[in-house]
Amino acid sequence: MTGYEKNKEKLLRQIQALAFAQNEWVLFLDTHPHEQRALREYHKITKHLQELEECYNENFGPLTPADVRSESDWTWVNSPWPWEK
Amino acid sequence: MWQYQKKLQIPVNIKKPNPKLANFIISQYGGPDGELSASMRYLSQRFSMKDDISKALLTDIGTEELAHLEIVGALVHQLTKNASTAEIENSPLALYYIDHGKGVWPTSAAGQAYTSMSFAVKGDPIADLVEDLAAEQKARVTYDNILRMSDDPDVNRVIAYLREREIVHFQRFGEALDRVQKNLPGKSPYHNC
Repeated sequence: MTGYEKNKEKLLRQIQALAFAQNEWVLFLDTHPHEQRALREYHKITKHLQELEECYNENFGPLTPADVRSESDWTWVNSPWPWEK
Repeated sequence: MWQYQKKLQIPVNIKKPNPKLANFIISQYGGPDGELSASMRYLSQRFSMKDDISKALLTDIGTEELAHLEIVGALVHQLTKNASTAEIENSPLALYYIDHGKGVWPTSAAGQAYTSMSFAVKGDPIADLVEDLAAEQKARVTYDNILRMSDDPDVNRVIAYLREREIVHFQRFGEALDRVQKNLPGKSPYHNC
């Protein structure tokens, strides 16, 4: 693996970990919609996750079609796709 | 509506092809208690729910199950991609291979095509939430069964994660059912209007 690929994978793992934590708060808040501490944790994680996703989109490729930055190439179609190693 | 992010919920990185294991795991793709069944159950049930919490929870867990469907598909794909024809022929996946090659198609481990008969939507919040509790346990048991028959650590890491999620979902559905039962109007819920 190249340095670029190593960094891409490292950041993606951080994003996956944080997105997982965020999802846990989403489900908890769905059944506890007025829990203040949970809401605070959710917003903290969401802010951090957005920063990581911005870094990923900027340096490694779009997480969603809306995140395509290139003005010359529709990078959304590029491999690897998530089910590929 | 749905957004898709170009990542799996957790990484899937299988080093060793194993068509036998793929045949077991495919039951969580298209089998009676698999992720397709789960997502269709929850995403369909939400339309007839009366309270906000149930609508939100069914939407969000249903969506997570689609992400799990993707993970299971990735597992099956990676377990078969580099398998030789001989390896496949000498595995329980041989019959599946005739119709689907190394493709991923919703079926159970025993070869039953995916069917909506795998889940119920009764349009009654209590019946539907109780169904959901059972569904999460059945999914958890299926992952238990897979773990018993797998000795691949890359696979087991992913299966153990998916199994844990079923337990958390069970907890959340219990909370939703609790709320629905506490907030019932005066008259009996069993004579529906």
